[in-house]
Amino acid sequence: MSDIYNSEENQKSGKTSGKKKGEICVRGSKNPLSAYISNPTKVTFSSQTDEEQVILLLRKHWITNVPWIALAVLLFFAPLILPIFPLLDFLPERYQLMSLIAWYLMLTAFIFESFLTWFFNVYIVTDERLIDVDFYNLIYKQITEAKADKIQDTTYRVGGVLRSVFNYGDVLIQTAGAEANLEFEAVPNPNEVVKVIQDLRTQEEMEVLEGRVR
Amino acid sequence: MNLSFESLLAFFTSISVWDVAKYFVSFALLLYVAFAAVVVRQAGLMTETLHDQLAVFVKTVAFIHLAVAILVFFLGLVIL
Repeated sequence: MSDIYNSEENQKSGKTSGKKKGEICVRGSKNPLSAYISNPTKVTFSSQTDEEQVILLLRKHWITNVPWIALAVLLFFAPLILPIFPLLDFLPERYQLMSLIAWYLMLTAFIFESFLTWFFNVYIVTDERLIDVDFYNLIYKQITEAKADKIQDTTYRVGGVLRSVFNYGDVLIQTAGAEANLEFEAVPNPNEVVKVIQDLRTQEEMEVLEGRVR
Repeated sequence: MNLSFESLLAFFTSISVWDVAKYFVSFALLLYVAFAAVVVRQAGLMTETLHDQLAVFVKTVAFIHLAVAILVFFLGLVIL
C-alpha cells in the first residue's frame, strides 16, 4: 500500500507520474524539526514492523511552544534585575555566584525538558495503523494505537483565533470495538490529516475486499 | 558537666551558618546530578521509542547537561 502515498518531493521528481485511481498525495516538510512531516525516510519507531511505512509524523504546531519559549527568555534575562533589586546581596559573593550558575543550569533543564516533551509527543500515521505516543513526565509514557481498518469516523476541529490563523487543530479518530479512540491534539493542517486517514481507511477496506490484508 | 556543656556551646557557636548552608547546597546539587542522570535515561528511552536524525543530538545534549551538573557539583564543593 505504501506506494500510493507520495510526498511533494516525489511528485516533483516525477515518481508519481501515472497517478492511479485512489492515489493520494501527502504534502509536508522533510525538516526533522517540523510538526508535519510526510513520508519521513529516517524515522523509525519501537513497534514498527519491517513492511510498515510511516506516512505522516505529526507533532503539536510550533506555535504551541511559544509560551515556554517566552518564559525561558524571561527567565534568561531575569538575573539582570539583580543590580536594581539586590535580592541576593545578603549572601556572600561565592554563594551569589553559585546561585547564578544553578539558575542557568535549571533554566537549561527547563528548556531541554520542554523541547523533549514537544519533540517526542508525536502522532504517527503508517500504512497500517495510527499511533499516539505520549510522554507525560520524566519516566512515564503511553502509546495508543488503532489499526486503520478499525477506524470508523474522523473529524477535526479548529476553534479560536490562533488556531484559525495558523491552521492547526485537533483531529478526533473514533474506532470500532475495543480499540481506543485517538485524538491528535493541535496538529497542523488538520483537514489534510483527516483526508489522509480517510484515504488510508478506504485503502484498507479495498485491501480487505481484494484479500490483500497483511 | 558544666565544662562539657560549655564546650558543647562553644562548638555550636563556632559553626558558621554558611558552613551549614554549604552542606544543604551541596546536597541540592547532588540531587540535581541525579535528576540530570534521569534526563539522560529519559532521552535514551525517547529516542528508542522514536528514532530519527536528531536522536544523536538529543542524547549528546542530555550527556552534556549531566557533565555540567557534575562539574557544578564539584565547583560547589570547592568554592563554597
